[in-house]
Formats: sequence, C-alpha cells, structure tokens
Amino acid sequence: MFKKVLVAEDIDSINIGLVSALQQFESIEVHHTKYCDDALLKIKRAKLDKVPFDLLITDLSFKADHRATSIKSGEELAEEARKEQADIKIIIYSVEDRPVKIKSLYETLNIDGYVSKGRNSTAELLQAIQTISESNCYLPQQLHEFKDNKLFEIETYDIELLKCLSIGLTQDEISKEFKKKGYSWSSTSSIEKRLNKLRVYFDAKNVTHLVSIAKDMGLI
Amino acid sequence: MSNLEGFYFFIIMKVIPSVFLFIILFFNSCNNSDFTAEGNKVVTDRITSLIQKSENHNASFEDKKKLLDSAIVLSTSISNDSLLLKSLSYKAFNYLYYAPDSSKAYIQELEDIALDKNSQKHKGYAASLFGNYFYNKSEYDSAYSYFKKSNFLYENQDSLRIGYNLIMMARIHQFYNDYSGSEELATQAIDYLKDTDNTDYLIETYNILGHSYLNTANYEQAIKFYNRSLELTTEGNQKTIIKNNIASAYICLKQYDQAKRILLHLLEQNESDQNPEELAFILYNLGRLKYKLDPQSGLEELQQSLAIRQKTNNRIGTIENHIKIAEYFEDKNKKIAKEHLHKAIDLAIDFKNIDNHLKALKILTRLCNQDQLKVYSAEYIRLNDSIGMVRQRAKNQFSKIRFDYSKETEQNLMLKTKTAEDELVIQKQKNTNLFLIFGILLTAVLSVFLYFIIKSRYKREKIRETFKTENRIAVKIHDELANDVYNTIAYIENTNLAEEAHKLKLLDSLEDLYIRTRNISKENSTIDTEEGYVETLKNMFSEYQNKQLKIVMLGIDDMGWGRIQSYKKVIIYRVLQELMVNMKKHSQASVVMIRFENKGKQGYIYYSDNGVGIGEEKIIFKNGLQNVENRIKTINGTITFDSKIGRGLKVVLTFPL
Repeated sequence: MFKKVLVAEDIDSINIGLVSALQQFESIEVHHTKYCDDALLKIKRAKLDKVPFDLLITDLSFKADHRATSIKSGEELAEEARKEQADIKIIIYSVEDRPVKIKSLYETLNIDGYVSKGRNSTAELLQAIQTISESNCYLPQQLHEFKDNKLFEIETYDIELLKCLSIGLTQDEISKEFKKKGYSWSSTSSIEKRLNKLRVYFDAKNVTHLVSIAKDMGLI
Repeated sequence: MSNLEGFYFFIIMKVIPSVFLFIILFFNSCNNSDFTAEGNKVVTDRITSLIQKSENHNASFEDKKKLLDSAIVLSTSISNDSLLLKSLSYKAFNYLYYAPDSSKAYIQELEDIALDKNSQKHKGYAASLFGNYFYNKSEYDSAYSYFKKSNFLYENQDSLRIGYNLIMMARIHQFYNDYSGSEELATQAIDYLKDTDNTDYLIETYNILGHSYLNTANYEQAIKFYNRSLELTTEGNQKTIIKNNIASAYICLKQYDQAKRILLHLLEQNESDQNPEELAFILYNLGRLKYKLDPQSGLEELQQSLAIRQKTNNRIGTIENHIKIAEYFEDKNKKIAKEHLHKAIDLAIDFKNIDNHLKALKILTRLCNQDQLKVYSAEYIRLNDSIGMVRQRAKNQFSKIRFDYSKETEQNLMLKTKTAEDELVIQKQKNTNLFLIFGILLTAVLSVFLYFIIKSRYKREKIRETFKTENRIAVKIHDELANDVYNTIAYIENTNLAEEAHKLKLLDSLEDLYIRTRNISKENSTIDTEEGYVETLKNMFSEYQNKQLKIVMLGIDDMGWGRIQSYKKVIIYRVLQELMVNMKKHSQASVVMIRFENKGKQGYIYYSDNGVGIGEEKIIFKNGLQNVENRIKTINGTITFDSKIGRGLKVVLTFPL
C-alpha cells in the first residue's frame, strides 16, 4: 500500500472529501494542494528529502484565479510529475467521462488510473488505489464499455451483396458473381458469415427483413 | 539634229554664275540664326554686322576676307556655333566666287566644323559648295555626287537649296546628252522652287526643260517652257537669249514666219543695245533661217556672226558658224566647205568639243573622195563610239549615285520610323508601367481597406456567434437544468431526508442533474479537427450506441477529411451531434445508418433511421433541428428532411468541400 499520497484539486469540498476518504487507509500520509505549481514543488521537495510521493491524484481542469501559474492543467502536471519522478503512480480524477478522451490520457500521459467524478466515484477511487497499489493498471468502466461498443462499418462490398439479394439472387449465385469479379472472399461460407453480421447490425430477423431494412434506409 | 548646236552653246553661256545664286540662298536662311546669350548681345551684333558688311557687292575680296576672318575669331571666342558656321560659310563661298582654285580648303574647313557641331544645314551647304567647286573644274562626276549628297543632307528641309542642287544636276545630265534624266530632275526642281520667291532659279529650270524638249524634238513643249521662262525674266540680256531659243524652236518646227518675226525684232532691239555677243547669236539664227527659206541666202549673216565671234573669242560659236557656212557651201563650193570644216575640226579638237567635231566629220564624209572617206569614217566611228561609251558610263554612274542616295534616304527614313516606333513602344511601356503601379497601389489600398472591413466584420460575426452560443447555452441551462434544480430544492425543503428512500431519491435526481450538466459541457467542448477528427467523430457516434441502438457507418474513412477545412469539420461534427441527440430523444430507432460520400466538389452525408419518424407537417425546427439548419448554412451547405410517420427519418446533408 502507498505511504505518501498527493492530492491536487482546486475545489475545496472535493479536496476535503477526498482527503477524508483516503483516511480509510491508515498507513497513508495525505498531502493536498490547490495549485499545480505547488504540487510539482512538493513532489520535488519530497524527492530531495528522500521521502518521495508514491501516488499523485489530480484533477484535469484547474480554474484560474489571482495567482499566476505556469502549470495550468492536470495533464501538464501529470507530464511534469512523470518527468520529475518516473516511478510515481498517477490517478486522474475528473468530470470527463468521454471514453475517447480517457483513452488518450492513458496513451499519451501513461497514467495508471482514471476515475470519473460521479455518484459513486469516491468508492471507485478507493478501488482504483487498491488496484494500483497491487501494481496493476486500473481501467474505468467507461473504457470497458467503449471497447465493446465498436461501430459497425460496412463496406461497398456489403452494399453490393445487399443489392444482389434484392434482385433475387441466391447465395450460390452471388458467390459465382463475386468469383467472376475476382473478390477475395467470395465463397458461400464467407457470404453467409457476412450476411449474419449484417443481420445482427441492422437488427433483422432474416435476410428478407435485412433487405427490406436496407431498402428503407436508402442503402440500396 | 544638225541645227541644235546654237542651243548647246547658249546653255553653256547661260549658266547663271552659281556663286551669284548662292548669295541669295545663304542670306535667306541665315537670318534665322538664334542669338541666345543675352550677355553676348554686343558681340553677336558685331559679328552680324561684320557678316552683313561682307555681303556688300562693292567690297573687294580682300576686305571681305578680313571682315569674315574677324567674324570667325569673334564667334569662336564666344562659342556661338551658329554664327561661326555662318561666317565660315560666307568665307568658303567668297573663296569659291573670287578664287575658286584655292577654295577647296575653306569648303573643307566648313564641312569639318559642320560635322563637329553636327549642323545638318551646314553639312548640306558644304556639300553643295563642293559640287560647285567640281562643276567649275568640269569634274562633273564628283560635282554630281556632291549635289546629290547635299540634297540628301538637307533632308527636304530647305526647298530653295534642294532646288538649286537639282538644277545643277539637271545641267550635268545635259552635258552628257541625257535629256530625259535632266527633264526628270528639272521637273523635281520646279516642285521645290514654285513655292519660293526666287525667280532666277525658276527661270533657269524652265530653260533647262525647254532645252531638254528641244533636244528630244518636242519643239512645242520647248516653246511652252521658254515662254514661261520669258514671262519671269526681267533682264533684257536674258530675254534676248531666251527669245533666240524660241526662234530656234520655231525654225525646227518649220514655222519660219514666227522665227523671222522674233529675230528681226531682236535685231532691231540690238541696234540700241550694241551687245556683240547677242548680235552674233541673232545673226547666226537669222542666217540659218534664211538658208532654210532659200538655200542661196543667209551667207551674209553667218559670215557676220562668225566675224563677231572670232573677235569676241567665242570658240564654240566660231566652230558652229564654220559648220553652218560649210553646209551652205556643200552644194556650191566643196573646196570652201572643206576649208571651213577643217577649221571647225581643229577648233573642236582644241576645245574638246566632241559633238561639233562629230558633226563636222559627218559633213566631211559627204564631200571627200574615196580614200579620205575611209579615214574620216573610221575617225567618226571611233569618236562616236567613245563619246557614246563615256556618256553611257556617266549616265549609269548618275543612276547609281541617285539610287544609292535614295536607298540611303529610305534607310534613313526607316531608321527614323524605327526610332519613332521605339519611342512609342517606350512611351507605351512607360504608360503601362504607370498604369501597373497605379493598379498595384490601388489594389494595395483596397486590400488594406478590405482587410479591415473583413476583419471588423469577422470580429462582429465572432462576437455575434459567441453571443448566440452563450444565449443557446443559457437557454439550455434554463430549460433543462434550472427547473430540475428548483424541483430538487423544493424536494429537500419539504422532505424528511433522514429517511433512506428520500435520501436515495435526492441522490438520483442530483446525479441526473450532474450528468446533464456534464453533457452540456461536452456538447460545447473543443473538437480535434486534425488527424484525430475521424476518431472523434466515430466516438461521438459510439456514445449513442448501446444494446438497443445500432449505428452503421459507411464511407467515413474515404471522405478525404484531410482536405476539408477545420471550421467545416466543426460544423459537420456539431450537426451530426444534434441529429444524434434528436434521434435519441424522439425516434425510438433501433438502427441508424450514416453514409458519407465525397462527390468531388460536394460532400454528402446521408442519415437514416428506422424510428417512428416525423410527420412532414410536424417537422418543427425547434432547438436542435433549427440549429442544424442554421449551422449547415454557415458553410453554404443544405439539409433536407424526408420522413413519414412510421417509416423512419432520412436526412441528406450537402456541403461544398
């Protein structure tokens, strides 16, 4: 388990909430700051004092106030912290819940965890800390969903297939037709497979229904 | 043609001393000399008066020389080129007049300085003087060449002098018996002279023409021109000569009465004048006339004429008289005839008078015996051939000189035209450049002006756009959030939160508020329009996809997004987002298909779903869909909705790429 944690969060209520939540882990020494610049300084200082932080929990957006700051966002802070101390673990705790954005944070900043602020986010954060402390990477729910939720992109080939069906060709005939045109996957089994996929995507009960839907949607 | 010698002679005698003509010529043109320098006025006046004094006919050559030399020294000292050239011209002219043999050096001096000062006028004058110099020395080839050169140098600028030069050239043609050439030049001379007030030159020109016609047997034409000449002549002496010529022409026309009347009248006049030269001429023609009328008469007049001419040492006249007397005696006394012919031949050889030599030989061949005939015939043929050759050669040479100069004139003209054209081109280019510069400046000013207009408009637009966005967000917050927040407040006020169920409900509604707030923020956040655009777009779609709703994409990767401008991409993103929001709210669709197509100049996006659709009359552009239309218009795009209740919704978006 982590010994020393730094929380960077500009909104006091969240800050206090977070700090109190972390008190659950008795062994943890929690520091907090409202400014990214301060956070980085603390990391540097701790490193000099040979008592470095194990974990950085930071928000993404920091509202600008009267103080002039050189580091303006959580992303920058994460980047600087990683530069300063390569082995520091980083969790980002923010409102952002778009999977794309979250995914890019993992990829570009090489963060260890992301927790989206929400109703049950405190619990999720504690869960994330637990996971990371066991030297695993924590992936939030959104990303799991995101991975399964790929868009179905059809090709011109599919349209041709649907067109052939719509003029009444059997799958055998379509296979012959595609072979003649030199398509790489023209066997009846590949056509069958493809049709099944299309059926699933267009939510069709059978091939006839599929053709009907395709026609309704102006695909053919 | 045996009776034409008299005219020939006359012409030689009749040559108006060229120098005399030059005085008039020169005086006329030099009055125009400009005296510029105010401070030198006294000196220039002095020079002018020196030159004027030198024009006095009574002054001796020595005096003139002195006057002109001091004029030259003075003009050199004040560097007055026009006066210097004028003085030099007068000096050269006076030398030519009084001491022709030593004049060449002075003419040369004039030419050199004229060349140095590049005075076309004086170059022409020098050439003309040279022509006269060689003419006086009977070197007609050189003279002809100089006269032609002089005319070339004058470049049609001075009619009087060009006329003079043409007269001289016409004369030279006559010396070589080239009458047609002479006629041509004399005709040209008339063109130049008729507008000047110098009658002397015109009289001479008419005489030359008359003589040319006489020698080409065109007697009536000859009489016409002699008469014209006569009309202009005021001098008695000249009148007598011209009348003699007219009489000769009448004799040739066989109008003897006319000739006789003229000649008798002249004879009567001469009694008071007592000019032996004229008397000899009149008597000679009268003798010829009488001989024509009656072969037994006329001898007396011819012998009188001969006596006078021998006395006045008129050798050509003497030769002609001898020949005429020989003709008289041809039938009557061969011995006397031969004597006269031999005298004529001796004199002709002496005086190099080839025409009369030939004429005498011709008559001699008719009088002599067989042996002598051979000798005379051979001599005649040799002379005739050689003179023919000389004349032909001269004729050719003159043609060549004239041709050369006309070619040169042509080239000069071409050069001038070309220079003019070049200048025109340069001028045009200058104009074009000016125009260009003006155009560029104008464009620059306009551009700056336009830039500021566009900038300020852009700024206003941006402000308006921002304002609109702010307004839209405000409305949204008001519509979607404020009510619910208020409801929540009310709920808290009126509910006992100690109860777990109430607490959970509060949390639920708060979470709902939180999510919707987050969504508003998301909808208005920035969009990656670079390489990540397609991914961002796909993710946007995938956010709407769940177990109940499938989204099918076609052609999104082949759209060529890289070449579409960022602001268009933002608009397209927002439009599609609005469509998806709308779809989620109202359609109850289970499948949504989005097809992208790039048709070169236009981009097409087809949206279709299998939802409940909207009745055509019910397509109310409220919020979302209204925004869609407004947004797509900002990139000159179009949007069309096609829907029937229960048959889903189809939307076609087009926009220029």
